[in-house]
Amino acid sequence: MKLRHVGALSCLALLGACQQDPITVPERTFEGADAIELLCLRTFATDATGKRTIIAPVPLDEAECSPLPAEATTDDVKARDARLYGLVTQTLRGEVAVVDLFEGRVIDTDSATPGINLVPVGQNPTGIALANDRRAVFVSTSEVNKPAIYLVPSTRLLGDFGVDLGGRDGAVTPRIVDWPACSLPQPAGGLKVASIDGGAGYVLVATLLPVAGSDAKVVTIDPLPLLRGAGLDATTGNRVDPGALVPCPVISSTSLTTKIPSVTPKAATDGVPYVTGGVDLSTDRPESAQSTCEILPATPPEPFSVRSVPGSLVADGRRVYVADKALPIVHTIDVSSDGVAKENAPLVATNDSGAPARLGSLAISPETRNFERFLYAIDQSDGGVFVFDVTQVDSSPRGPLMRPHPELNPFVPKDRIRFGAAAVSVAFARHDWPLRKSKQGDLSTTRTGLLCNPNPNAGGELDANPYRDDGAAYRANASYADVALGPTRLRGVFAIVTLASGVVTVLDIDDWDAPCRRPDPLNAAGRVGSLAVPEPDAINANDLDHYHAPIAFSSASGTASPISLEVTFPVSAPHRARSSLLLRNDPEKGNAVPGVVGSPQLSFFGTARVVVGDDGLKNPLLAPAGAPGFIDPTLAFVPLSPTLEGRNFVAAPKPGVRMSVDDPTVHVDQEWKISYEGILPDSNRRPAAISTTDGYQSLTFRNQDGRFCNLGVEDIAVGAARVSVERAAGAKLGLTIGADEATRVADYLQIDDDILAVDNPYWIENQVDENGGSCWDPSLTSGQARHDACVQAFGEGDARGGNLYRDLPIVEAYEDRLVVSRYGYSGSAPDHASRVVNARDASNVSFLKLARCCFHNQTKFRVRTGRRWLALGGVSGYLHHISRGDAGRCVQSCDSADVLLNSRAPSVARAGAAVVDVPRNSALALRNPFFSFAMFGPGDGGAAVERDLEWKFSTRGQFTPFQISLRTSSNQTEAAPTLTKSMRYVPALSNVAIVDGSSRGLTFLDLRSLALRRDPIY
Amino acid sequence: MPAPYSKLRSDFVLPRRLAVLTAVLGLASVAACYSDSAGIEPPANNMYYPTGLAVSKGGGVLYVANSDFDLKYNGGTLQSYDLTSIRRHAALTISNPQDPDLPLLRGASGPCASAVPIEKSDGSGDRQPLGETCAPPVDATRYVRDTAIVSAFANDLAFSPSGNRLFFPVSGNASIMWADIEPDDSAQAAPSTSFTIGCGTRTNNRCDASHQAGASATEPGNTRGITLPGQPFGMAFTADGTGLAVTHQADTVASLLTTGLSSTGSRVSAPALQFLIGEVPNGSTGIALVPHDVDAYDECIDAPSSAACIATVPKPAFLKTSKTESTLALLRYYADEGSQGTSSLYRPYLTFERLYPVAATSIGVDQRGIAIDANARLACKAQASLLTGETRRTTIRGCARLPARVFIANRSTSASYGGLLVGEIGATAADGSYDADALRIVSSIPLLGGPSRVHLAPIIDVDGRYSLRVFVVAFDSNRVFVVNPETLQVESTIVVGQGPFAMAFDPFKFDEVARRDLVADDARFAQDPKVKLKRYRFGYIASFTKSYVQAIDLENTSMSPTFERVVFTLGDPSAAGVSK
Repeated sequence: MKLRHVGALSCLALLGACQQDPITVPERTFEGADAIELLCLRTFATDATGKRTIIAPVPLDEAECSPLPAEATTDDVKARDARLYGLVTQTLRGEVAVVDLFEGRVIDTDSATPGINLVPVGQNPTGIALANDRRAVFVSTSEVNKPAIYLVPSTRLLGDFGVDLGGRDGAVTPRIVDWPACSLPQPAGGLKVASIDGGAGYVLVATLLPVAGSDAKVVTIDPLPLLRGAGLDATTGNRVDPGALVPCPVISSTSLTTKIPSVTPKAATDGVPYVTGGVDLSTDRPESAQSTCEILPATPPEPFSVRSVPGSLVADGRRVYVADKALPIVHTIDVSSDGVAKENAPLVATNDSGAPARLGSLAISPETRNFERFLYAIDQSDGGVFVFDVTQVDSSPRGPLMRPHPELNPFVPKDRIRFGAAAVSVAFARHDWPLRKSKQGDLSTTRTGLLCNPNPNAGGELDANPYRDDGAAYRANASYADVALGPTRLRGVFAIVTLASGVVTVLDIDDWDAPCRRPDPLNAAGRVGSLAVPEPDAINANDLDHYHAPIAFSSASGTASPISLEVTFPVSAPHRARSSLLLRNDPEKGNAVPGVVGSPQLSFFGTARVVVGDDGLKNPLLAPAGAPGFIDPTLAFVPLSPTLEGRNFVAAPKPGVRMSVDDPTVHVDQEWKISYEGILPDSNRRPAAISTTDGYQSLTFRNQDGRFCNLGVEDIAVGAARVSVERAAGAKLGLTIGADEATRVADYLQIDDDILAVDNPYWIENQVDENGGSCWDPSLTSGQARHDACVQAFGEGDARGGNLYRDLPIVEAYEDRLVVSRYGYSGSAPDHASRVVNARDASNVSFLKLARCCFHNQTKFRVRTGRRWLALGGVSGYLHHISRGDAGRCVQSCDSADVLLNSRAPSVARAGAAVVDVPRNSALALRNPFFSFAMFGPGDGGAAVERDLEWKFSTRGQFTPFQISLRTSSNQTEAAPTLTKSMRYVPALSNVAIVDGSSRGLTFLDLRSLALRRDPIY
Repeated sequence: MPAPYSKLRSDFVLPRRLAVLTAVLGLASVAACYSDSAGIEPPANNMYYPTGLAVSKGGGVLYVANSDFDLKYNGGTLQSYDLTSIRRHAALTISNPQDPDLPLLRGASGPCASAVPIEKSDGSGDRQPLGETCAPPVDATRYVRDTAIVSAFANDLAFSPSGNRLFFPVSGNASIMWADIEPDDSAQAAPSTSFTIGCGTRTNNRCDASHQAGASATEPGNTRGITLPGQPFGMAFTADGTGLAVTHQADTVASLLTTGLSSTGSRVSAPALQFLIGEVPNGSTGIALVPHDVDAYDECIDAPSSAACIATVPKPAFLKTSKTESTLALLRYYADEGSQGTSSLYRPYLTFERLYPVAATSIGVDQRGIAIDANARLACKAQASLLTGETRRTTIRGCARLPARVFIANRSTSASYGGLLVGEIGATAADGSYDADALRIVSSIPLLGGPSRVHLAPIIDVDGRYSLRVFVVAFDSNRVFVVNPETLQVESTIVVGQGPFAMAFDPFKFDEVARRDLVADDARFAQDPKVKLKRYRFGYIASFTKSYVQAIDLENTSMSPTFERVVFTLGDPSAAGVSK
């Protein structure tokens, strides 16, 4: 079967074949590549004289294909007798591609047939597994009406490849009829090999997909009959001969569970290993009106009819994990009892993102330095990754590890890792730059697995003595490591994740450089953020603990800092995206520290306002809200000085904000607008029908698709609670909040529609309301009169809100409706600053009747924040923690992870130029995950502020995770689509092999250079 | 002002082959350049660049919309074919491709027609499947029952939910053409009236102007005095069949029409254009109605017609794809029927409510056809209906809140590759609130080049019951991919005629599929000594490039080797005048 990439050629032909230069179109053999296995084969023998001859392939342990250095030449590769091959299933061809990973080419298994020929198996191959003894490769298929398992002898994988080199024994073209194959009762979902008898033997573990009348199953299959049929086992017994598609020798068949046990999640470690149990941030939160929040109902369980659909499998000795594509569980299958599959309690994915998980790709980590192992499972529903601790799976928690301190980055769910795009595949790598030399010179044997040690007790560069811990050789100021300390030096255990956007990213799991990626000092005097807890002092001079170094720099042992001088801690935390930059303000390499660009600007509809000097006192002042006990690392004038004193801190600028460096991953570059009584984004996109339930004491604006809680609308009850805590906070600072403030703070609805033209037939229609009456005043009998009355009352729509009677305060906000009253004005002319919210009472009737009639029972509107400043990020948008509560009422969420989702700030009183220091956790400040500020004045804070008065500024220094695109390479002229199907770390190459189901074929990410190693193979 | 036809002919001579190559990728990008006043009449008994297929309610008639894509003629056609005969002959072909009842075009001249191999040539002993090499073409003219000339560049063909009115968007005069059809009954042969294409009084066999909704700003019922923008492409009906949303390929506009049908399906007026909404993502192609299940709401489970229920269930919404942007747009439909009075305020309209990023794949930018599968909800509710009391209520509510699967054909920057995006719509948030329109793209399935349309239809499983599949038509690679929506695996890859585009199926009901009902025998063949057919068996795929239709066997009761293979070829793939 051949496939040429003829599309482009056809196009050229149709266009008249006028091209002067022929275009070489690469020949493709990959179609729907899916799974990969690795196999080391010796294909050459070298005799004592050095003469090499091609031989029948001999399968070897993967470790016998010795690592290929990055600098290996073509000749080096060709000299290898044993080579590593990748076996890649082709789902749309029903074949397996054999790829020489050292040479980087697809093996043509049939030299007599033009093109590149692969190894045929059944249609729709779904899994591939290498036998423990490497003598056979098993492939499962889901061919319609003929699902099966095929055995391909390892010696036959290369077909007649190499015949031009003099030929070799047994070199024949692979044919499907030569493979022993056994039939399955249902389509196979995947296949793995699991060990039995303490690793001496193995069984095949296949998942069977649900079909009509049959649920999903896991079956274990005895490989011996297949091996006998292939001539790979000489024992007597049942045989599965080639060409005879007999039923597979099933040892056990078990239906996969559909029961979802309840679990108690546990938090992952936060990367601060010297704080037992993790850092406690429960008192480092903004003051809020917690009493008004509601415990939200739990998401209802799934209905009964969902069937299990097995997905990705990973094998771990005698155990196989099976992801479920329909249920939020990972099945755990144990085959230790004579190969009989026993399903233990599953791992359970939670649903913090709001939707049940559907699990895709799985991967299991190698052991960390603490002998921990983790199972990663991708949630196909939202592209996040669940982390399960499977160190001792029988006793480990069945739920995923929770992200520590979720409030510091509330934009991602607590129970998973999430990326800029959906994760589609994951693999683990334990990678190191082994130490080959140290202070005492070249080491006799390279050392690996060393933790970077910044502790001065371990010795320094100026010390005459050898290090007391060779981990010191990996410090920033040492020159013994092959690669300098920093993001591109991968030492430890890492997860490699491909995203749907076609990029690869890296997660830190166990970064052996983590102790040296930090600020200095890491003590009370230099604390930079919530998690940068002071390290304990060394107990004595023999204390070499990597985290007993509150001051890493010692002038006695070096002139440069031994650590990275980054502005936050931890820089490298388990299960967190790895930054591509050093998180510091480097005068040479750029500033990667979050900060404000320039100075915030105040303006009113594009006209700048003065914010300094005496004239500036007439305007509000945006000022940083401090974080007591912390220094602000962004204010360092000499940021890379090895000592705190040498950094020469400057004063915080005003106007300005205080950036937070508690969690560097939260930051994104964006533009900010802080406007007075700003418009809630998206609040004016839906029409609403107007009605009344209380005889026009209030009006109800209803849209069943309004999702007003989701929009973050706050009614007067929420506003009153907000004022209450602000009043208490003001008292702490000696400030007084006005007594009537609680009757004034509420979002309000601003009607946006124009008044209809006078000739519209609407004006003469009889409007009959739900009470059988009419909203028109009986005196308004003609269309002209009605129209004129409406124009007089409400004027025309105006973005600047010229007519204040269009503002209707929200007394009750629900998910599907807003109940509004009206404002009461003290003077003859409506005054924006002094108005109060009228309760629902009879005095509203005539006004609200007219409002309903004038806007024809249905109108569009926007919602504004009554008497509060509204901060909107260009990327992060409007942050709030309003949720749908009882009876659909919009209430504040009690979820502690949401406490930094804040966008509203009051005006704080000031006396002239003097402003009080408002802590960032005060209710008078606005603290969000990015920064904190307080807004002062003008005047005493109760003075009139013009609506839409606006501060603008930009923040930069976003977290930039390591990412590399798979979509372009030198042999493809345009960005190509990618759909990564699987990945596998190849230690012999220090590469991660990435299998793409679309156009990219097989791609390699080199962990030494963190770059794609070569053009893709397809 | 349309250009003179003679001018267009010369314009189209040179680029014809290129146009065919790129056809259907962005079909009919030559909108509003068609004149129907002169020229050669299109063939009455053959297909010519077919772009739409539809099967009658009773399964007795196959309707074909022909686009006249190269403007060889003075219009396209809408044809009706005797599907009962087609199905019978397809069944005969499976049994014996040389059956004397078959109107074979070339008798014994073709290699398969003259010597159908019984076994595969690989020595396996397996039966040689029919299909692309062994479904000898039959004379399509024998099955034609009616042909009406319509405007050129039809892009689609679809029945209203009631099955009594056909709609097809045409770029030739930027309108939604329509025809009234008398539905047939699956229990008996289709009456002659079902073959008659009711598109007004024909002049020179051409449908009358009143059957071109949106072409005139003064058409009856068009209260806003607007006309349809160019290149109408995708269509989706509201659940009650009263509204029709239309996408436009090269514009940032979507259109809304009333179908002229009541919510019970009776004809009350002619269709009419009602509203245009602008600033939607450009390059619109596919559109689908978002399934809103009233049982997802407590107010509705026992009282689906109550005012409280109506006030709770979301207004109808449509999900729209885009060729040029990696987003999906949600359009909300407000019927706004004049319950309040007679002023011009109360007219149907659309709002552009949400925009969903398509982040599941790097190829998300070029989306085409879309289909939404609520089968899981229906299946779950069928089980839950056996329960009682509060358990039944809560279970039904849970069933109704199950996400519906969204399938989107996705082309790519590479002509050789494409994929099927898989999403879920409808989700319960962490706070317990249910959002019927919350959409997430969750995965993608790699396919070969040119996926263009997606259809949901069943196969007949080994136990004789319906089982749902997703059929993805791939224009460039000449394939139909069959995907199991439960396992999300490609079940089969069917090689079909060149340039496949339109597809249709024997009639079925989704609730029957959800319940996995046994497929009943077709009573029309009860007395036929040579043929035994189930009421549902075939899918039909039209080759745009070669102008013929193939039938695909979808019955696997006996694990037949013809299952999910082409078994019948209606029309001559090598006929003169067909682009090569």
